[in-house]
Formats: sequence, C-alpha cells, structure tokens
Amino acid sequence: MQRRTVQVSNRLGLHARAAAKLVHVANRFRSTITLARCDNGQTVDAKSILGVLLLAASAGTYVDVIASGEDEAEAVEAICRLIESKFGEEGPTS
Amino acid sequence: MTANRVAQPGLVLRGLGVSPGVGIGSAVLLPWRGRLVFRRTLAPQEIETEVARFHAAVDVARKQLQALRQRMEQALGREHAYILDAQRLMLEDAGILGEIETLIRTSAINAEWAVKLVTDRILAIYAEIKDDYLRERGSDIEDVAHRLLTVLAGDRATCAFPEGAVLVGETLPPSLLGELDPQRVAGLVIGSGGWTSHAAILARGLGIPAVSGIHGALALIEDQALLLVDGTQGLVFVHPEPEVIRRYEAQQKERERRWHYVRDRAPLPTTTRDGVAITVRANIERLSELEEARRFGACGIGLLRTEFLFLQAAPAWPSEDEQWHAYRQVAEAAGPEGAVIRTVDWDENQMAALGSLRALRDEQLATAGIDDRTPWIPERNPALGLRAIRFSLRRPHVLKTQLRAIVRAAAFGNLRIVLPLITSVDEVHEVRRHLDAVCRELRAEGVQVPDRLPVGVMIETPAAVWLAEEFAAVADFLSLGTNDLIQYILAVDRDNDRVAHLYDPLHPAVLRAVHQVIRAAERAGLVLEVCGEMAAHPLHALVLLGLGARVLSMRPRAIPFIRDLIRQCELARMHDLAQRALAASSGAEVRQLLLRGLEAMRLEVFDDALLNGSAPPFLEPG
Repeated sequence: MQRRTVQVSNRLGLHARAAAKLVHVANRFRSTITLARCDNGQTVDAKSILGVLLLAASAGTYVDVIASGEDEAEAVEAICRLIESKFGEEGPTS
Repeated sequence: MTANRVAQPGLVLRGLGVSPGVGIGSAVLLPWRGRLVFRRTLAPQEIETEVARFHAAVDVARKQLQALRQRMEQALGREHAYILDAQRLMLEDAGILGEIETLIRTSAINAEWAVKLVTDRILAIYAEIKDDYLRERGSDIEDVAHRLLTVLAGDRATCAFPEGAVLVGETLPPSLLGELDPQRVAGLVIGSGGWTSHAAILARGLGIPAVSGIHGALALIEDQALLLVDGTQGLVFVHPEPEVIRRYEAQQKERERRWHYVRDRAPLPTTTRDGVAITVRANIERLSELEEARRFGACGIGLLRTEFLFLQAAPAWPSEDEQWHAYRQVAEAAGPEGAVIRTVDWDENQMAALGSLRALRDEQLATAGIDDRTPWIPERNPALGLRAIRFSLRRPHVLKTQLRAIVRAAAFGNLRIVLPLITSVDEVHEVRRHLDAVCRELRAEGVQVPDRLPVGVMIETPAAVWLAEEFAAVADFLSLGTNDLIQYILAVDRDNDRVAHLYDPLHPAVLRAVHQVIRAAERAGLVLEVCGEMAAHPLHALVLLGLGARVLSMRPRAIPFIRDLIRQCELARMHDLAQRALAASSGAEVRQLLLRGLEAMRLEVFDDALLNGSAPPFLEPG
C-alpha cells in the first residue's frame, strides 16, 4: 500500500471539473485508490465521481491519497501530481 | 374549492369544460412536482424490463452528453469540454447506477421513482457541504437526474395507462400530453389551467373530454375511482349513479346522430341562402388532422400551429429538417388552397416546463462556451411577457431555423407565413429582414426558393386592432386570432377559472374591434381570415359573418357544423343583426338580441347547453 498526503491548492477545490479529471486519472490504474480527508477522516473511492464530489475538499484541505495494488506507486504519484498542479487550471505550478 | 357534495351517492365536481364530450373511466392520479415522477409498484415479472429500461435511459443520456461534449470540444477546445465530464462520469458511476438498480429490484418500483430517491439522498448529503462553491455543484446531480427523467419520460412505456383511464392532475405536463393515446385515455380532470392551457388545446385536438378548474382534484378523487367527465358542461361525476350514465348515453346518441347528419352533407358547397360563398378552412395542430380537414371539406389549412413540433422534439429543439419534413407534408396535403404556417407561439414558461430551455442552454454551452446556470425565473405575467413573435425575435436562430424550413417546404405547395402577437410594424419588418436573409442563404446553397412567400399578421392585440390599416399596408394578409384578442381586450385570463366567466366573445368591445379589423382589410383589399375559437362556435360564427367575415378557419371537427349553419343562414339578415349588436352596451344584450333574431330565422343547430350560457360550443360527439 502506498500513501501520501497532499494539499488541495487550486482556488475552487475539488469541484466538478477537477473531480472529473481526478476520476479519469484514477481509472487508468488497476489499484484500488481512496482519498481521505485529513481533517475529518472521510474516505471515498477515487474512481467514483460522486465519491470525489461528496468529499467536498475545498482549497487548503489536506487529503491522503491511498492506493493498493500492482501499480500503487504510479497511481499515488499521478494523482498527487494532478492535485499539486492545481488540475492545470491556474497556469504552471509555482 | 369548487367541489360540492350532492345529496345522493355520487360526488359531482363543477369546473370549466375545456374539451367537449363525455368520457367514462377509472381515475389515474398524476401528482406532479416540476417533473412528473410518480411511484409505480412493479409486478415481479416487470422488474427485469424496468431495469433494462433504466439502463437504456442511462445509455441515451450518456450519448446525449457525449454528443454535446464533442460539439463543445470542436467549438471551444478540450479544456472547456471538461465541464460536462462530471455529469458523464456520474452516468458511469457503478455506485450510483448500482444503487438505483438495487432499489428497482428490491423495492419493485419504477425507474423514475428509484432515480428520484437516490437523487434526493445525494442532494441531502450535498446540502451539508460547508463550501458554497462546492455545495452548488449539487446542481450537476440535479441536472443529470433531470436528464435521466426526461429520457425516461420520453419512453412510451411510462405512459401505458390502463385502457379507459381518466387522468387526474393539478396540471398535466405537456411532455406527458404529447404522448397521450386518445384510444386509451377517456378523459382529463385538471386542477388548474383553463381553455387555452396546453392541456386543454391538446385534449380538444385529440378529442379527449376534459374538465379544468377542479382545485385539489388529487385530494378529492381516489385512485381508480369511476369517473364520468362531461367536458361540455364542465362536470365530473365521481362514482356516477347508473341513472346519470344512462342519461349521458342518450345525449351521446343524439350528438352522434347530428354529427352524422352534418358530416354526410360535407360535399355540399359552402354558400349562404342568399348566395354568398364563404371559405371554411381548418386550424390544425398535428399532422394527423390533415386527413380530417380534407374529409370534412376544409378549403385548405387556415392555421398550422407549429407548437406540436416543439412538443415532440422536447427537450431538444426541432431541427430544420424535422420541421421541413412536417411543413412539406402540410404543403402537399393542403392542395391549391394552401396552408398558413404560424411561427411558434409559445412563452418561456412553457418552454421551461418542457425542459427545452435547458436544450437551449446546452446549445449555448456547445457553441459559445457559456455555462449559464442562472436559475430560470418564471415570468409573473407570461401573457404579457416574452412569448410568440417576441420569443422568436429574441432567439433569432430559432426563428431562422423555422423560416428556412418553411421556405424549403414552399417548393412543394402553396404556403404562407403568419406572425403571432404582433404589436408593431417594426416586428413585421424585422421578420421580413430575417426571411430575406434566409432566402438569400438558401439560394446561395442552390435550394429552390419560391418567388413570393406571403407574410401575414395575426391581429390579436388591441394595438394591432387600432393599427389594422398600418398592418394591412405592410402585410400580405391579416388573420384575426380571436382567442388572444378577447383576452387582451377584456383583460381576462381564460385560464383563470375565477374570472373565466368574464371572457365573452359577444362583448360589444370585442365585436367593435372585430368589425374595425374587417373594415380595414376590406379597404386595403386584403384577405382577412378569422381563425380563433369564435369561428367554431355557431352563434359567434354567425355574428362574424354578419360583421363581414368571409373566411373562417377552425378545428376540423367543427367544420361540418359550421358549414351546415352557413348553408342555412341568410347573410343580409345576419348583417342587420350584427349592426344592432355593434350598438349594444353589454354582452348579455348582444346575446339576447342574437337569440331572438336567430329564432326568427328558424336556424336549428343548437345544443341547449350551448344556448343557455357560457358552455363551450360542443356539438360533435366526444
């Protein structure tokens, strides 16, 4: 199992479009991938749009990305990179 | 509440008869909140079909979103198209789909209800979200649910009412009425909405008896109660006594006898006793009425209401080709007398009820990238709002699509265009500019365009009456739309059953307006066609003839009666009567005057119900 904590830093948080991108990326991997909010422990399936939306992670929220399976390392890496890049919404990451 | 308990067994509810005839059947209750969603318990053998229906709907909705996304991507690039991805992913979300499917199976409920339950649950969780922006995204869920329900509603299976059903609802959504099968539905009982509500117009067109203004109908009538609907007199009998049923059956026989009598006389010419030829044309609002119009001796189509195309296509908009196909059929069927096509006559409230405004939103999103989530605010006064020609001019692509379709169809017959709710000559000029542009475009595309396509103006506002001469100067013909004209002159909403009794076509103000328009058309040498309900009502039709009208257009089933009446009538005497009616000071006075005059003329076509009050002009069997 791989786990890494990442901060949601884009202005709008995990809104619909960002959530859609995240689910797309998650679905490329075989591993089970979950997201957990560090503040309240709410855990959702990263491959379910509804789950990701209902996580309601606004800007500044810390989220654990947890993957387990054959490609777990790559999965965590890809999802963290997406979140850190602010979903490509606000220009290059600083 | 209009209900009053009568002493003996049955309960009689009094309302407003909005579609003629009598129907007997068992009540099917239709509660309606925004979208029609009702719970239906499934028999065990129905469950698999329902699950399959649900998945098919998901498939259709997903394809709609995919198509929309593709168009967006082409127009705006990949990044923007992501807006729709969240919604599409919801339709692929195994969790959501699985939950709905399980509900259908375990609770044995219809797909609509299961979608509603799951959506409500998710929205409740959403409502707890603290972040305003993220919480608002609940609208994506609502949107998807709405899309799914719309697709499900378009599935005829949902409208498979038991044979002989009487539908009971506070309002009946047009999307449902579009699917009604007159063979199966015996009657309608509507809580609110009057004569011109879409439900009423459709019911009349389909020949389904309907009574409106039964407030709280859903609470008063239990599911599967035996109902007798008298759409002529506006009565609903709940569990009628056998005696009542027998009486109605006898009346029905008499109506049928008269109907056969006048129908058999259809081949006779439409000429008054003093030898004046009158043109009787048909108003139609469905293509299937073309055949009736021909059979009952209509001289062409005086008014094609195009709203049905928008109903059928809802929530999408009818494409140019779909419209062209329909108009071409009308052009071909209408014969040398031709057909008059009215540009769409709807308001935004009706469009919103159909979900068509969201289709416009999709369109906007796809072509301009504007994701307009502003909630649509119902117009407080739609009769004075963005409707008819105003709606078309505000949305030029809707108008131009319709004009293109008409121009293309005009190659197949004699077509004319008429514009609804005109109040200013500028509107006529503006439509003509669009029409010219459309003709140029089509010529450039190598399409055959007729040399001349007459454009007429509907006279249906006081402004148009006062400016009738000015409109005669810019129009190729005038068309008197009495329904709206009376509503605007008398300031009465006929859909409001509390004031509907004030809606009086014989009010001297109405007659004087009609007279003024007829004279303006005569002076300009233009054809004036009367195409409102007045033309279909025996008493009113006679007054119209007396005032000088020579072209009357009406729903096909009224044609045999009115033509028979014309053959019995002496125009010179009607002219004298009409002159006296013009000088009267009240509608009641006009009515008295006419009845006395007609008695002297020994015309015998009237129903008692018709003569002793405001009962609508229903002579044909239901």
